[in-house]
Amino acid sequence: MTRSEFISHAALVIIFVLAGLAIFPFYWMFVTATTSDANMFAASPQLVPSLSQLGIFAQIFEEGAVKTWLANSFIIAAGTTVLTLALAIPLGYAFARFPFWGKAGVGIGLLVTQMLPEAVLVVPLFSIFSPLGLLNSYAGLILANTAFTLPVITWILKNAFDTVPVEIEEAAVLDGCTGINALVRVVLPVIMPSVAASAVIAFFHGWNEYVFALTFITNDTLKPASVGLAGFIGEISTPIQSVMAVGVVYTLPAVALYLLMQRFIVSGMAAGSVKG
Amino acid sequence: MIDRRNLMAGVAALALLGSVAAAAAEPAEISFAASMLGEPLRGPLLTALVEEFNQSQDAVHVTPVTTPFSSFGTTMFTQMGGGGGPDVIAFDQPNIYAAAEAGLLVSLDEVVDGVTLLPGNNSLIVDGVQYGVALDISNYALIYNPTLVTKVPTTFDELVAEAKAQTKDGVYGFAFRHTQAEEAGVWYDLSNYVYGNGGHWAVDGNPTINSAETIAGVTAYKTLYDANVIPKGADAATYRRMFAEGKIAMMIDNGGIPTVLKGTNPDAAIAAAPAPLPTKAIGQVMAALAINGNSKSPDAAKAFMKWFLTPETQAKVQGFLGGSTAATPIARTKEELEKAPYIEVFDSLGDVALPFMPQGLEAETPQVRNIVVEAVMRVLAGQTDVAAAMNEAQSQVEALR
Repeated sequence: MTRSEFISHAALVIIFVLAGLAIFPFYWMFVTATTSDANMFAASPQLVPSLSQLGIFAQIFEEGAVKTWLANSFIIAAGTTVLTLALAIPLGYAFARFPFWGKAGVGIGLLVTQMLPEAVLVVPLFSIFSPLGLLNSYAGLILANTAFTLPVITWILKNAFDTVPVEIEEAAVLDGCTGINALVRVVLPVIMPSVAASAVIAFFHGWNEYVFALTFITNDTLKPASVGLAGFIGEISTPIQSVMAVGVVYTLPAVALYLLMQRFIVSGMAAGSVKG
Repeated sequence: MIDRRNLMAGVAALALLGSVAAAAAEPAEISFAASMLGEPLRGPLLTALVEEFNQSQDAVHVTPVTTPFSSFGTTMFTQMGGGGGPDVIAFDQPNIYAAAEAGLLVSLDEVVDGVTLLPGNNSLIVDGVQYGVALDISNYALIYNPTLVTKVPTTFDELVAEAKAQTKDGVYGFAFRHTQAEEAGVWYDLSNYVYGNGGHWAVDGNPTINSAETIAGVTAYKTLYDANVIPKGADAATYRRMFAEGKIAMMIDNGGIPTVLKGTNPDAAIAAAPAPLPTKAIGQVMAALAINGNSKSPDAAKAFMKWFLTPETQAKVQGFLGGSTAATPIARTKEELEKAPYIEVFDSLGDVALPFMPQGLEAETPQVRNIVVEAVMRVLAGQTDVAAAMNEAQSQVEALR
């Protein structure tokens, strides 16, 4: 075996090990969800899924609440994604293209907001949202989530806009495009991988968010899956198989979205992070 | 002849009357939050009871609010701190003190006037004002599997020996909470050994964390931990389920647990006995109903609470609480005791059971709990000995005052 073959094989082994480490928690959730009561606390743990127990996945959907939670999560995550992109694209473009007084300060100020944990902001936001009627609403959660995703997405897109030569826009304007048309028809398609990556980041944040959803939503019909799932864990009993089954189902849409977009994400991150 | 001005005034008066009539017809909307509402067994029964109240009258409509147990206290305080939150809240006992001292609760003196409450409710009086009434009161005792444990331990040494003997073939002899992640649960379990050894966390507002009796209690807790008789790493929900499946022989737990175990596995073998500790003193846990000071309809909330304290409702509540009791004295039925004879053991401990709060430092319970449990975690990890850890905790708690 040559040195390069050895390195190649070693790299493959490392990749398999890392992939195994990444996949194992998901596999273990699936195995636990399909473990019978009798085997749950057996001396030797069950290592492979029991196909006879797959009915648990039908059971969790029979109650109806899980479907509602997932639908709510999707609405909140999609709303967060759309609003974040709608605000971050012009903001990132302005940071990349236009000189204005205090630009550096505003940019740093945006990043500083990332240093505040949600737990610090939850009480003031609750006080603001209450008189505005934004509690117990998708709009309130989407706004709160967007406040957290907007700074980082703005910076990602700002870096992506920086990589697009301004001459391309100038050529488009010479050909008759307005400034906004040049942004939408010429620049955005070039940075589409970064936009896709940003969309995934915003969607994941909205999908996984817990603290705001827990505090701002008291109406059971509006609760997202993150809060619903936590509700399974009780003071004196926890239906372990149900928790794992809902956990598997809860993870699937996010994993599917990531798999769908991963090519864009990798190239998008690279495009946004390398200038010149 | 009706002129235009009179016509308009008449229309306005009619509109006002109509809106008042409509308002009178609309029931006052209030919300009720309790972590019990989310439990798979007792939750639906409590929800059904709330619905029964809604059906019984037209003036008030109560909407149950489920909040995950793990975040219940912090979520309620966050919402209340922001000027909102549910109207009626079932708090853990120490939270009543914290909320009352922050001026976040409504006095229930009017609600409990003329109602005979169990003595445990006295612990919900803060500065002479009744701020809470019990949803359930649960005393702790030794819960054991009678098919595994044939000779019930009556001393701590017998308990350790029996736990060691039972730990084999995938069965653990004992179980209790022992991780920082379950800080409140560790505090409850630890307190049982402290109380059972004659100790207290505080007396008349003075911390007694490093007293000989308290140290003896913590040492007993550590002795069981070191004996390798518990499923280390298992949380309470897991090991209770293990008990229901016959994988745990004994545990010191509260009176509400057997009902949950039976709900998990109707065939679970369950018996109870007083905890085998040097004194009879043992812990008592309580969830207490309180009215949020931010409530827009405090009178409606009081009406719900008054209904909740009626003998008929209390009998129904106690009916699904198992070995726990409701807020008022409700006699056990013959059928109830025949079906679950262990209930008598829990009921018999009412006179010796103590709340899990340092006496005189009730409002500081979360801080004291955090200091003590962190110290005990260091002891379990072998980083320090019990006496040194308790001395340090004593100093830290004294610094709080």
